[in-house]
Amino acid sequence: MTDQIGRTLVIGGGISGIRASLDLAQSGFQVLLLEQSDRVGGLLSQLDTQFPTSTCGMCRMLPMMDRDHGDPQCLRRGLAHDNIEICVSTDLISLTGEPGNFTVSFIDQTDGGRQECPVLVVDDEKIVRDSMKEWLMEEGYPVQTAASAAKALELLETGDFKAMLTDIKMPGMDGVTLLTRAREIQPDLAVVMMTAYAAVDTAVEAMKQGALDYLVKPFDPDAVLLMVDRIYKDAVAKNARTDTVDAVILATGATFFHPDQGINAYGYGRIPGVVTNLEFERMLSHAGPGGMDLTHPVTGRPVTRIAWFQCVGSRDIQTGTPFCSSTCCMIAVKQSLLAKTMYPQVTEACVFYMDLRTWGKASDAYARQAETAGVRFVRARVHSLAPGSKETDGAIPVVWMDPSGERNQSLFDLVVLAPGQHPDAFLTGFVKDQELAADDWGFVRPEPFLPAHTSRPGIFACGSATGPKDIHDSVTGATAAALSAMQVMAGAGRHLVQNSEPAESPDQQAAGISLFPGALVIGGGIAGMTAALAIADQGFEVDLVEKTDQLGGNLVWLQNGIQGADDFLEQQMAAVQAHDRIRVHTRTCVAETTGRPGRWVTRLTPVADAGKITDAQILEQESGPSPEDRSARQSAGVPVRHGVVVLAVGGAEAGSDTDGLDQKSGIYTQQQFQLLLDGNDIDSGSPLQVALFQCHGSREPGREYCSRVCCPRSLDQALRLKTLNPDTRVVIFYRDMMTPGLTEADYTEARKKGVVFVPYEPGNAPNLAADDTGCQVTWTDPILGRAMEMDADYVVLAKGIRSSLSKDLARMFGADVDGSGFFDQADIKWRPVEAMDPRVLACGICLEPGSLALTLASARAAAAKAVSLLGRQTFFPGQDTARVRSAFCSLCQICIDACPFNARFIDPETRTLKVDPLACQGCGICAAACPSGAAVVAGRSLAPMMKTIHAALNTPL
Amino acid sequence: MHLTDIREKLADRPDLTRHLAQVKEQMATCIQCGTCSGSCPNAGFMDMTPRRMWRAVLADRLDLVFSSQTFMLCASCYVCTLRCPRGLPLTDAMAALKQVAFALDLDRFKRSTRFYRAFMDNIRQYGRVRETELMARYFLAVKDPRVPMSYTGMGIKLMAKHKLHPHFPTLGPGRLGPLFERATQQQEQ
Repeated sequence: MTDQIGRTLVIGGGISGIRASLDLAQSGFQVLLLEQSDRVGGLLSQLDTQFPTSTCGMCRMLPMMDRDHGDPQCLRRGLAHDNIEICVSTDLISLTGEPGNFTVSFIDQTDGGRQECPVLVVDDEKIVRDSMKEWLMEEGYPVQTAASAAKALELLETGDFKAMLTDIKMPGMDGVTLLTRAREIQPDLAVVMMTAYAAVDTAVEAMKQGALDYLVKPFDPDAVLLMVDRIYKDAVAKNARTDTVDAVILATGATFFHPDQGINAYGYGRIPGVVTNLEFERMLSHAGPGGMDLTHPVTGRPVTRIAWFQCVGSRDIQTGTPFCSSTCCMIAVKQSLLAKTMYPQVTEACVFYMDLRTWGKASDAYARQAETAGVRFVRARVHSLAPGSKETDGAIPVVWMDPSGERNQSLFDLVVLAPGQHPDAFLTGFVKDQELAADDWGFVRPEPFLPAHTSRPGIFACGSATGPKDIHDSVTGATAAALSAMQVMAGAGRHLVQNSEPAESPDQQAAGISLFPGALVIGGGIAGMTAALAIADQGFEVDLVEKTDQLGGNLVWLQNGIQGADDFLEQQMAAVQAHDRIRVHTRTCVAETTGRPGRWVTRLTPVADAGKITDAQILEQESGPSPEDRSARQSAGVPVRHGVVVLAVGGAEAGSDTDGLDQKSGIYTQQQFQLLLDGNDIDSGSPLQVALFQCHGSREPGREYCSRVCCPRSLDQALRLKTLNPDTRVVIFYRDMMTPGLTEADYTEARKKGVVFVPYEPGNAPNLAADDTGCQVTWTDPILGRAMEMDADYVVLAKGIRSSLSKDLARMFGADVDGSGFFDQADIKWRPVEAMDPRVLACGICLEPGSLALTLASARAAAAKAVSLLGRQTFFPGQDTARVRSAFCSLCQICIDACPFNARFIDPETRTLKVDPLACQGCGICAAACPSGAAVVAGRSLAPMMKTIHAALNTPL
Repeated sequence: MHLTDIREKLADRPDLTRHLAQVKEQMATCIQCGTCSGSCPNAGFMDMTPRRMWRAVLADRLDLVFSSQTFMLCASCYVCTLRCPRGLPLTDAMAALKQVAFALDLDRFKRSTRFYRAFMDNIRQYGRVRETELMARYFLAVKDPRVPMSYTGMGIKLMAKHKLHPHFPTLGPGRLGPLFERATQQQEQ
């Protein structure tokens, strides 16, 4: 019955593709993973470390359930899972169909791949021939060139070609005649005419005579490749393998800008010592070309002075990239910090930036850490580079202008460029073939309020295919995409793989644990509602707890500020209320929880009442009535039994009740001002003076993180003010405009509309002097160096977001809050919506500050994780988890105290010690702590471990 | 130079006001990254770097703009335009400021204005520069005897190197007249 098993196609084996595949695989669905290159892992297999942890935690993505079905190895070495069929070096040929029934055909490059599609390029201009040859060879096509039609005919007589690209105007025989003659020799030859814009008519005429298509000079390399790819796909289609899948996840990532393209002002490839950040990443790696030393790639001398240049091929109109690549600032922070701390020889580490985009909850503190370590951050853009000379001893002189107009020069051994991310040729072709909605730059445009959905039903997208993304957003988005695919497969009536195989021994069988089959979602904002709906739609019971008397959370006040959000909110609220698997408890909070993780019994209580319950009641609850009866009990404060918990308690504008506010003088918080704007309460009949003040109380001691939403919100407010009255003067005071990815476009738009942007440094913030008539703002313009002032009608303070998650609530379920008050994730990059215990999930702004799109993505990701867990009845220990040899166990419970993951417990029914396979990380501390040898970790028994230690101590490494 | 003076002068010149508004609009998306200042070969001689100049334009500080010689020192090398990540027409904007300054006939730029005019007239007339006549016309135009005196030293040096030709052979009229007329016409449009 294989045809009944849900099967999803994942295109792209980078981090997003791996994440989505693993989520589907561990939920019991089958995955077909196609990857163009010869290995999975994508870009991440080249990065040793990630920010803001300065370590790699990729293996934390490995499945927590049925671990033995996957390879518990480092993911850089490869991916293996019983439910994932991985096809590397594979080209997608075609994809057709609809949700529940897609037909995909693909071909192994090593078996009739591009080698089978030789291309002949005919042009009298050498530069055209050579560059075409280079582009096509890079993609793996065998290429021959001919300088004239006569030469081309000669080659066609002797060799077999699949495609010919020919110029039309050539001395001697022209391209059109060549076309006719060539087709006499090889009737199935695909011919593409190349022509200048002026001669398009001739090219069209040639198409009537059998040419496949034409290309207009000057060419875009991508257009040439797409054309040849098309011919290649047609040529090999008959050898391709065909398969059917229910859903498709597009995870193709992005490609990097080549800094040697175009002007190449920084001399990449020309000046020794100018490298890209990816190349530097390898140099920094102890497994890289320099080994343990950081040496110059050309001279081999130790590197002591390093500069990082940001925004190379991003935020640059001249290279056609008006957007920000989102990750490069943090990569530079990480690399500079590591260079400075790993190599004492590095005396100078200097990052040149325009805005240091340390958005998100942990990045800003990481940048401060780099600053403390001695990294210099310079707000300047270097215009170009000249090679080093004898006077500089080979070092590269870097010249820049500081804000005051002072000219500076420093010498650097290495200059590390941060090339931006672009959509790649594959994505461009895929978007065109599948007619997906895309933005102006070629990234897939997600459907509104459905962050993983493309405009084609059944085809989902994640990772950088939808715009430049960091690991955290990619991983969250990939899990959200997996949920969407699960929904399609469930809708098509597909089943799971029956691979919860019987445990090997009765002993192991007894060791299994099972979850209560329901979810508790705490928080009825949009995150909680989205998660609840997604979990309930997959057939599980959900209790949704909301402490106020209204669902909707922050979106209630924000709905008019986001296009279409009001309808969306109404829809979601109605859906939640009407869902027969969701019980909504408003004006309710969580009083107490008992039971093991996964077998939680949680008592809800009306908001005012938070009393204790007795032990007798707990016992009754453990063996209490089935979920069906629950709705009857809910109002009486009777407990809920649930196997997973989703914390979605949200957050609020930070510090709105504290300093500086004075509505009489027109000083508002961003939220208050948004309400004025939405309520049309701003009289802009005559031009107003408005100051928008970013980072008020954010990114400084006390709240050391960027809330990520305020800069885009301020831009939106500024644009609305300018629309109301174009003569309104709007000044935005900012530290770094945090407009990562495609939001950069709003930043440009605001400048275009005449919004004035004034950067300030902490300690040099604009001064507010409020009186009854308004507020006078005075500041020093850093560029003009002059005092400026405005009599503001409104001053809007962007105070950022704080989390509403209390320590008590998080700890009730064995999770915790981080230093900033947000949910403490198992790993901020690799397990972004889970606690160390995968049954405790979080989403929305109690997880991390973010936009509505990010909140929806994290909610859907959390739901995907919940559904995966609830879909399994029982979990058995795997080879990597600790086991208990009950015969030796004296129930001394030393191991229970020793276990840092709360994975060991005494089963009250059998009075034996058990290991929770979802919590156990296989660290082996229990085995070391156990006095009687009852706690063991397979493959790490005493004798071989001792031998390994001896060997390690006796043999020099 | 005070802001009020400039505004007064601009009050009866709607064409120039429009011209300046256009420059401001062109510069609107400037992010003050300083690439222009860094790349400018003459920045070291300017009293105000290009970045500061654009900031002043955007802040409507015309007093600062027209107190500065910066746009006069622009050599039109176009490096800033090539390097600007925002793709702004910086060199064109410098030229536009130059034009406005000439048209307003501001005292501060009197000498520059006179020189430019003398230079262009000279070219228009002869189709090339006749140095001695150019300088003579320039000196007459500035109406200040100290100016010719200040050039004496340089003149003697140039003459010693045969770079100046006091007895330049008589040339016929140049043929660039129509070109100038066409340019004037275009400007008026």
